[in-house]
Amino acid sequence: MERQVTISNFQLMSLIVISTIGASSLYAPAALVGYAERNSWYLVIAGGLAGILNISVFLALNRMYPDKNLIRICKHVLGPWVGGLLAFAFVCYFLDITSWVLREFAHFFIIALNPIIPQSWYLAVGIIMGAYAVSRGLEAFSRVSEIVLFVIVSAFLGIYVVLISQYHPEYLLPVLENGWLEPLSGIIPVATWLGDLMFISMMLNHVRRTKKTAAFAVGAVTITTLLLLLSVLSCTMMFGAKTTATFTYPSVSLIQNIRLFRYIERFDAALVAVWVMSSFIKISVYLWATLQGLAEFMKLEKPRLFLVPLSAGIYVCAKFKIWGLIELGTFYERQAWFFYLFQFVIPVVVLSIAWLRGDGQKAEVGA
Amino acid sequence: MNRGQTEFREDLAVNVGVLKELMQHSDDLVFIDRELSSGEPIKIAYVHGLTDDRKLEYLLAKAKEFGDSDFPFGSDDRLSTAEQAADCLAAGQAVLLFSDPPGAAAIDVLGVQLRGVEEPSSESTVKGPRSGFTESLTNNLALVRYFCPSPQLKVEHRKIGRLSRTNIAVLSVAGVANPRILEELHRRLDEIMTDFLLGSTTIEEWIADNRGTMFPLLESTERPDRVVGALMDGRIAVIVQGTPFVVLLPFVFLQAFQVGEDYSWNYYIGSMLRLLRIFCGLIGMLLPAFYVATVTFHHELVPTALLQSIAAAKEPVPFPAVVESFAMMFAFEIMREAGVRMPKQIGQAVSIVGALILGQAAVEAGIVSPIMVIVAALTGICTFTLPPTAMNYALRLLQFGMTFLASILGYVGVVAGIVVLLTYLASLRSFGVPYLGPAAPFNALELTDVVIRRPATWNVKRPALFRAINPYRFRGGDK
Amino acid sequence: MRGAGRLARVLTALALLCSGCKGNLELNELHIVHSVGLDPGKNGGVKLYAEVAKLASGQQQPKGMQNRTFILTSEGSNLFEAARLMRVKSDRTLLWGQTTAIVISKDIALQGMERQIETFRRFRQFRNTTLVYMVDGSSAEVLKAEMPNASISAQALRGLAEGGESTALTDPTSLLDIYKDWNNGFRDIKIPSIKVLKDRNGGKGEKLLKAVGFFAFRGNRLAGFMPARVSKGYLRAADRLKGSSEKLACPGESGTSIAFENTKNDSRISVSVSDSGIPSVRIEVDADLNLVGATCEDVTVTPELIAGWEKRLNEEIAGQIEDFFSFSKRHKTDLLGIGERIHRKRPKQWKQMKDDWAEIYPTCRFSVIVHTRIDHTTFTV
Repeated sequence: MERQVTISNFQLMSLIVISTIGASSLYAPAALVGYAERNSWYLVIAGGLAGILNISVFLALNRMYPDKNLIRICKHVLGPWVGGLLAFAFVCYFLDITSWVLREFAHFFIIALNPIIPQSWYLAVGIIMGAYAVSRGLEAFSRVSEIVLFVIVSAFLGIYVVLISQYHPEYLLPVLENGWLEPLSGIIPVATWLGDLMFISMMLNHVRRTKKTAAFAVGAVTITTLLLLLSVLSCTMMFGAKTTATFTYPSVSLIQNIRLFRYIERFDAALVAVWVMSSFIKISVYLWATLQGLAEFMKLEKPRLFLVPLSAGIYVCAKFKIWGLIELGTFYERQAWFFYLFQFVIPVVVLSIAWLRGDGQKAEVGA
Repeated sequence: MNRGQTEFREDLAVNVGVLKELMQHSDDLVFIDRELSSGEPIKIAYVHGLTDDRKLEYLLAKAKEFGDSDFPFGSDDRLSTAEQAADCLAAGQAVLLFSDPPGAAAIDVLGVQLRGVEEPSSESTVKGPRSGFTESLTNNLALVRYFCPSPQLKVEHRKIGRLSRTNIAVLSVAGVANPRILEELHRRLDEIMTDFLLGSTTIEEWIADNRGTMFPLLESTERPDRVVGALMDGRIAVIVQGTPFVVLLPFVFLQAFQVGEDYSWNYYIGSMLRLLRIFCGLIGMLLPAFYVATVTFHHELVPTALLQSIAAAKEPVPFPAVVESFAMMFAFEIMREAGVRMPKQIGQAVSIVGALILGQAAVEAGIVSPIMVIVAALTGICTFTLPPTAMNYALRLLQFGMTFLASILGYVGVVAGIVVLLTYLASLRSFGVPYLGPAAPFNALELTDVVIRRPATWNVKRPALFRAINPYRFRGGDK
Repeated sequence: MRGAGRLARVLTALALLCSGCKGNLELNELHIVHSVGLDPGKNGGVKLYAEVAKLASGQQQPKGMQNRTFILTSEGSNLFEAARLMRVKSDRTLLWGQTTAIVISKDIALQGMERQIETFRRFRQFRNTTLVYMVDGSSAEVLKAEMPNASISAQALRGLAEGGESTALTDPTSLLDIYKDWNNGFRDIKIPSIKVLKDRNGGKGEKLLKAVGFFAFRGNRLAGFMPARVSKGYLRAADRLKGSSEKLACPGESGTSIAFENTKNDSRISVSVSDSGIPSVRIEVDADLNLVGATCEDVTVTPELIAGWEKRLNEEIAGQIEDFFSFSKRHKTDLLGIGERIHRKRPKQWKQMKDDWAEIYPTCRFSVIVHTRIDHTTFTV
């Protein structure tokens, strides 16, 4: 019964894609367009490159220490005291991210669907789903993520394709009106969305590694970038840049415009399904990372016992963290450096120290 | 299990007494005296009624001609203990007791009146073979061998049940089935601690990976062609004496939507029917939930004209949509259960009564809305398109759960329910095979034969799903 | 005992869940609003009308969209407050999410459209695709009109908007279109106009609605009303014309004319800016027409005759478009989005012209070139 938990390359890819795109493709166009107006596609591509860089850091770390997850690497590389402190910081970071994700999850429904149902119900549903998935194990929800991947990719592609007749490509002109650098002012927030894939730092040691693992990982980031690009392009071509920036969830507005055979409209339910499924995967993944990190850090024997208290704690965090969506958006934009620090900067530091120590023959990046 | 090891004595009368004791002095135990050609007296014991008269007469007639050199039984047929003799007697064999040297031998004269081979009632087809299994183990084995006369078909006999000593047979195809699964199966069969084995469901419950789940982890079928198809895919079959249902293992979720008949039609039709069944499975589980969620929470997501009609239809109904929905679903279940057991003579009356009362009259009295009747009827009919496995019932039970979730949180509840259900299914395993089969972990090649039907000429690789050893089917040549 | 404990927990959870279900509304507790009318109210507020469908009672079969309707009214300082206060007069909660059409009174526009547009956007329940109309008068009259076969005026309004496909005198304009144009600044807003025709026979009868023409805006303010010919020219120039009818007066005789059916129309706008900053706009129109009426004299149709008609049609169509140009220059409304086209083509030059665009626009030089083609002129049967 005690068998090493393994997930396949394809499952890794679906986890990455869903966690980065599933939720953000609903609200990302608004923020992106706020920074780069008509040239948001350019910003997305730049963000995609940053994402690939980010994932290479984790792949390199995993290559050096194939059987260790991030917490163990920290302790190994930096010693018990500094490494332990850093490991604790990471565990807290994972916990924090889980509560942010849970809060985002609830906010979508309150804003787009029905403000009468209390927020705590949605938070409860979200955390119960996540806790159940984690209790069933990594393999179980990784398998579900494969199914969810197909659902959300086909839903998104379906939406964008069905609206083709309503696009105005001229809304994208003029291209790069103010030069190359001006749209990149929003690169840090974009990189943090794509950097949400950092949960793989806890998971890569569970992947059944083949020669193609790195290719799958980079492929996942590419798919994410492509989907984000499509979403931004269709919003811009449909609504125009300035209008997209005023919507909270531009994709909801996109869906409202779908009209099949003249009378069939109102496909919002598809977005509800997509959002619930992808948030479910994201919450489960981060909750799992938190639990793993905690178990690793405190050397727990029965991590399952901590699942319920941890979930309750995250629920409370999510509920009282911020007062409303405006605060959430502002925090994501202004304090994006906080996320970036943990997603990219610190792992790069750890990687460099590990390289300097001479662990692992190759510290190169990519496949 | 400690059983006595009573040896045979030279005195035939003592042996007879021991046998009678072991068989509880049953009144249908008969002893007949005969002599061998050498003059040695023997006794022939059998259970009256369990034997075929002609075979018995032949045996009795031949008994005179047996001499030591003519003893047509090899040393393997010799029984060493009286308990073995009792087992054989109870199983319908005739036991010959010898005095010099003391010993006994068993001969098969079984001839009990059983049902003939008929069309299986639970799985009818239009275009496939119409033979179904019967209650006799030997007959069933013979049918399987008839459909698959291959020497690679391996049959292993076992006896299960402390009191009932029921015979079962484990079938697998050597070189195709995974030996580890076979080993695991035998290990689990060893662990069965029961007095009696009545029907195949008891075995299913004992050997399943997870006993607490309502989803079937094994499958049973009445048709030999399905058994042979399953064996060829690398699965294992367990035939139990006394029941026409043969257990097939391992079993994954998507197989609940497959019917043997798909292979009788060409692949376009087979694929369309399979996709239809999967779609019906989804509808059967989710339609009432969607109706309740839409009408209670998400009124904006219905086209205006439809909403107007639904509103007008629901206007006189005093109950909320969720209560209506539960009431109709319960009513449907009641009708269905009643329909299973009622005698054929009043079948007509009940269906008329059901249709009248639950349909027309209830709508006219304003107790349910016509839309709800349509939803419930459509849901019920969709569940009937699926083959009658336990999955059918599991989906019906899930209907209720999903509707409840829909009444609390609308679409969010329904999707959350689906997602939790998927996670649960993904964590199940049937003999090591992930329950969500080729869908997750994803395997495109196998998924095409499970979701749609691949043409037989394209089937090059054996499904790895059941961990077959030799991954390539024979295409002429060595591979 | 463990089983009992688990069961107890599950049952408690279920009981809690059943007790406090919020946010659900049975259909029996709703009035479905189909169309909304907006009039100016007292003290700068608004007066809101909502058209609700009556539901046929139980014994008869449901009639879907054929039911009668009734109108609810309320006043408030803004749209949202008026909508909320309407609940005071209604015995059921109002469902706004199914609103298909919004009719705005012209007088509201005189107060400035910006506030109204923003409020419409923030009224979450109105969907993007809700049609918008403007009426010169009270919007309640429009909502009360009952067209034959469409007692719910939302259906009538939707059908009328789609009629523009064959008449080119109106165009479906949704809430999203208005918001987009206003927010992006690509073009000026236009809202199709609707009129209630007085009942000829006097007394109560079915009142008919007529959708002809547009109300054009200049930024925030109402600029003017575009009558039929100007509307047609506008739609043609904007490449939104799908079908229309044209006619040529017969030379000499008064009163008779030849009728043509316009089946296809393609327009291309190209914009250029001279060095002195004067934009010039060139519109090229290709139109396909069919002869559908009697000819002036009873002669066989020859290619020369057709060429003559085509020439005259070119002038006629160019005239329509030029009428539109003069209207737009007079009222300074950039309905074709010329400014945005300049922005796309010459971004640097546009930066300098942007702030004075309202003054520069009337100086634009427009030229129209029309190529008509008469496709078939013979009888088909």
